[in-house]
Amino acid sequence: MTSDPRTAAAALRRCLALLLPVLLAGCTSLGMDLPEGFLRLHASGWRAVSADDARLWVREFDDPERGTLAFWAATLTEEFTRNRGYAPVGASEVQDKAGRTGRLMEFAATVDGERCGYLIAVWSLGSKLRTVEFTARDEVYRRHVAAVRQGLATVR
Amino acid sequence: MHALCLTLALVLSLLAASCQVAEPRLESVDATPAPGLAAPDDVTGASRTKHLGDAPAEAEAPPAQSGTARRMVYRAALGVEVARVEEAIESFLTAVRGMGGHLGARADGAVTVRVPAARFDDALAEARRLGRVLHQSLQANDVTKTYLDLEIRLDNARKSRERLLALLQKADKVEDILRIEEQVRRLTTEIEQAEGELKYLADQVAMSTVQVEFKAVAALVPERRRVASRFWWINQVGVERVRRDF
Repeated sequence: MTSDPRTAAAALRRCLALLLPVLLAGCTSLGMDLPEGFLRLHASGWRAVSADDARLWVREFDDPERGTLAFWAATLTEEFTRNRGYAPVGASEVQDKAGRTGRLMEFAATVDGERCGYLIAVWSLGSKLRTVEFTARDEVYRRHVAAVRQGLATVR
Repeated sequence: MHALCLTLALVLSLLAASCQVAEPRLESVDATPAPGLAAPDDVTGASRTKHLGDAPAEAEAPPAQSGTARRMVYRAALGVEVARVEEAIESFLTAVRGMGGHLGARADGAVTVRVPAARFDDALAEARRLGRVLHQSLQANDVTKTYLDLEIRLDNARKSRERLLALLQKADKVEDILRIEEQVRRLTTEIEQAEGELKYLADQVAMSTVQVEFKAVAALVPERRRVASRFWWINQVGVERVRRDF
């Protein structure tokens, strides 16, 4: 083993140079490009609101069961329709910024006596699930939903 | 003698005209089968009949080839439950127009659209995507034989009319002229009818029909008593959670 301080410093620099990109890659923040009309909230996680109270939330959940995307999409639909009384409005595939395929589902619901629209996009990332949720009362939902759908392609 | 020959020719010609079957013309036809529906295996044999009225040279035309494309007419009827009927209809019609289709009829929540046969499955998928499918029925009718029979009938009628017109040039007795003209009129009507039927059938083959009845969700169960999901993360999502925890 050499004890030359210059050699040790050089080795350390090489290690850092190798590790830095890896560390930075791990720090890629969860989120998406802000759709027009929304303001990012600097609370924990990635949340945004519009002036007319539409809410947009990007989250990740642990998926210890490692379910497939098809399984989670079917389960969500089942839970929302049978258990919570939501009405399915549409469903389709969606791609995130990295080109991964997710599932986009839209529902209509009545919550606290108010008709709402609800959109959820889900990506299965092995042991994690990434979700984007968007909800607002009916007319507000319709006003923003196109921009949100478009923004899903920027989810990271 | 000349009048006798003319009369004989006229009678023969009329006999030929009344025979409406002949060796089918087998030019290539393009019926694009809708991808999701299977077509019957053999349809060409049914239309292979003997030509009785034409000249021998024509009767010895090449036999029908087994590769004749099928002509299929596709239809579908669906009932779809949606949250907002008007929005669903507009979305569906926009998609249909994007596929090269068009609106056929619209009444209340029901729309009938015509889409190119090759986009039949896409139109169905679009209708299903908009909500929950309550019922659906698909139909695929093979009209190859009907189509070929019509073509043969048309071909025969045209040829007969040509022969009668040629005879008309030679006829010199008023009685013969009147009889020939009467038959020409009859054949002209028959040709027009056959042309119309062929045109209709070709349109049915080229454009599939999709009828969708959109129904509003009977009653969105307001705030149905919630039973927790067995999956933790599912309990964290939904309108209620976004409103409460946001």
